[in-house]
Amino acid sequence: MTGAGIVGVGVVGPLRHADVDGDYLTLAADALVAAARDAGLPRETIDGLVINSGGEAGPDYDQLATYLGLQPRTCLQSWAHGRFSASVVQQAALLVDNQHADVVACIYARRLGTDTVGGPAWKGWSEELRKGGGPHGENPRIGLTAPLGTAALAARLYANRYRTDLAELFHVVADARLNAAAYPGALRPQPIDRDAYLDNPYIVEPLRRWDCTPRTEGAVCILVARAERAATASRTVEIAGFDGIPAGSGEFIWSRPGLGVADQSMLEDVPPDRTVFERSGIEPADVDVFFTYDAFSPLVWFALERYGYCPAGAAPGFVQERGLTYHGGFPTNPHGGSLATGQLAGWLHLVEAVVQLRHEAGARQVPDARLAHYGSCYGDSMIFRRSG
Amino acid sequence: MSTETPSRPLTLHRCRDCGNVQHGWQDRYCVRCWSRELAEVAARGTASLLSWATYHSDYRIPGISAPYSIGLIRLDEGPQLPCLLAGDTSVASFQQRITVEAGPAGPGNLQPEVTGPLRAIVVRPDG
Ligand SMILES: [Zn+2]
Repeated sequence: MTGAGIVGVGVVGPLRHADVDGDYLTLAADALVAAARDAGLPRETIDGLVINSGGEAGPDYDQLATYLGLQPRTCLQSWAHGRFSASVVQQAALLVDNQHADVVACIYARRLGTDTVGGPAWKGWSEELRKGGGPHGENPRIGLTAPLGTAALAARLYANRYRTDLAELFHVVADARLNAAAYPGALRPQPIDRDAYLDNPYIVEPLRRWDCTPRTEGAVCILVARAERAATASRTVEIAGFDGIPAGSGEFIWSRPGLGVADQSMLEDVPPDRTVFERSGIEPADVDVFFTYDAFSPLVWFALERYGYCPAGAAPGFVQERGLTYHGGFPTNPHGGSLATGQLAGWLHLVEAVVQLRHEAGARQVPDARLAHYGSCYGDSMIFRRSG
Repeated sequence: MSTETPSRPLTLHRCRDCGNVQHGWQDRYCVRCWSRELAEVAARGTASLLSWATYHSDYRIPGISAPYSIGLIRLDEGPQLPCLLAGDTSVASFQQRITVEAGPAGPGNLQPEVTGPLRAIVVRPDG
């Protein structure tokens, strides 16, 4: 249990490139202003700023502060990859909990060019060529480009090890669509049947276009503060506990420990990652709604297994039997996730956790949701609790 | 596969103190004991195939165009790395034995043959 909570959220998007009005700076500013209004907090109270994705992908901290007339006393900016979504909120909670700041604005903004992601003209190309491989294990010298490439390798390795038919990914994608149908502005709200899924073209086989997020842009701001700073305490969502991103040969961004991707050992028996539950004083069975980073559909399976919601190799059956819709047996990404609503890394998931725990999700509300877990397959994890 | 630049053999690093074998790009420290006494050793060129995937979308990478297949291999020495697959990928199977060849050290034609036995083409991720 921390003393920090989320007191306000603001979202722009997710939008198609052509539908975005403004640059990344205006996107971030729109999200921040919306979050401050949502919290009922004046600009002067924001004394911390933590940016996920700066550099050429989004605003830098100094740029945004000056642009909006903020005077933050403490600032931080992470690597420009969306994997740090929850970690950025965790850093804000640490600042607040240790009284280095009262109100911290966490910012993610994403404005893309029109170059093919993974192509030589893409601004991520040089990073793919870094020593030891790219941020997602890329090696474009052998054609292994784009984050999707290693996700496809991970999916096939999973199928090889557990004798899984990857057609079962249909259930992950179809349930995301059903959730997105209740999210205004979702980019893929149309329901799909199994035949349509199996007819959908491969991009990097075994993964199809619908196994990947649509290419979208937008911005999110999450305001983290001590609970008593909130204008309306009942809308504050408590941060009950968290766990950051691990690294080393046992971890890989599109995998869970023991699967065998990149330099991971192939282990048959990996104990569930229970750290976030122990730090929060809850059990997985207490979780009412689960959120996970779903840039690619197999990542949902990997995350369910990482946190012990089901044993290794059992996720396809778990998803089919329980269901991931907001009215299903295991509500997951009830906003439709990146797969069906649009990609703002893990940020829209974190906002939806707040909306669900405030009981403001309308048609897609998970009944009486009191505890939410955001947990990515690569280990970034948080527990949120409804106030009161 | 034809190449316009000479191939660069796949090498690994072996720790003289503890015997650990690691990737070529891990070039100054033993990842197990932090010894700096590393010896460059040639990879034996044999591996097990763990996974494979086929690019159907063309990313306009110089020297290679879709469709082509990549793989994930575990070298017999231990390290795992991605590769380009040459040969008939329709017969690929989990943990099948596969030979490893070095790809070009610089820009060149990487387009793999799609018939014959499966082979892993590797290019070190440090150029
Ligand atoms: Zn050593």
